[in-house]
Amino acid sequence: MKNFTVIALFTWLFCSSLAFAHTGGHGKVNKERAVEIAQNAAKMLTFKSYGMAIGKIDASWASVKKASYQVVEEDDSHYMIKAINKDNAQTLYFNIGKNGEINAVKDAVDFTKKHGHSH
Amino acid sequence: MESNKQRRSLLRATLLSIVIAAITLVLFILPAEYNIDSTGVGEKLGLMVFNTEVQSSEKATISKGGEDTVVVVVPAGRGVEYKLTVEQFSKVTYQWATSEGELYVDLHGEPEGDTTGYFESYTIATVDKMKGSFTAPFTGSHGWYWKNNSDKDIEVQVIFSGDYVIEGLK
Repeated sequence: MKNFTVIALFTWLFCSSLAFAHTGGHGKVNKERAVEIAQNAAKMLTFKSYGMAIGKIDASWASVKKASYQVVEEDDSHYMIKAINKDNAQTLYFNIGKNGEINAVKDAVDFTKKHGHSH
Repeated sequence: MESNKQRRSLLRATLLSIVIAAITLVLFILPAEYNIDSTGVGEKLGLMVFNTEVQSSEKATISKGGEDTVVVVVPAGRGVEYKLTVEQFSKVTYQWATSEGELYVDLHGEPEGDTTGYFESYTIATVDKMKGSFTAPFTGSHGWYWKNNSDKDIEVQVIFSGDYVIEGLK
């Protein structure tokens, strides 16, 4: 009976830890994935604005390589990614949530004004 | 006498038409339809493009880890297909969105070499955007059929990546 109790207790602890580990939805994206999301967002925005304040962006953004994107800020909730398009001399900032959502896209001027500093 | 003359001219005409038919067969029909170009005239006249056996033997190799973005126009009241050649068990990740409005979509695959018209649908919906991936259950032509039931042309931006060769619009 004692052995049974011990086994049952450990089984319950093991199973409940799996359940608790799985709550909270999807996992967080890493820096590399956040950069991919930002690059993809740029491609999407060359087609239409998706309701974003930046509006539809120049078609040349669809060809900007991953190397032109870099993570400039990170905190618990999001990454800030800076991208430079040499073709039209434009810089954009992508606020990508740790859950993979695209929170905002801003150009350099608008970003510095609202962010308080540039990168 | 008269009938002999007529018979001779009829025979001449028949022989002449046989000769012309044989020349047409060797110079034009065999190169275009059967890839047999013994004289080289078919190649010079560009008739070899009609031969699907030649086209399939020049099939491009599958590019691994490709990434592409295209914009497709679906005319009002019509449907179009955009396809990729994908090998069995290869994966393609995609997303697409319309400029405005919804489209009927059927993401499906057709086995390579099939002549029965068989196809397998992976997703069917009427939406304005979609995101996902598919792993090809067989080697063949895989992709999207969009139908525009509105009275305005609709553009679709498709962003996709994976292992494939682009066949394009059909």
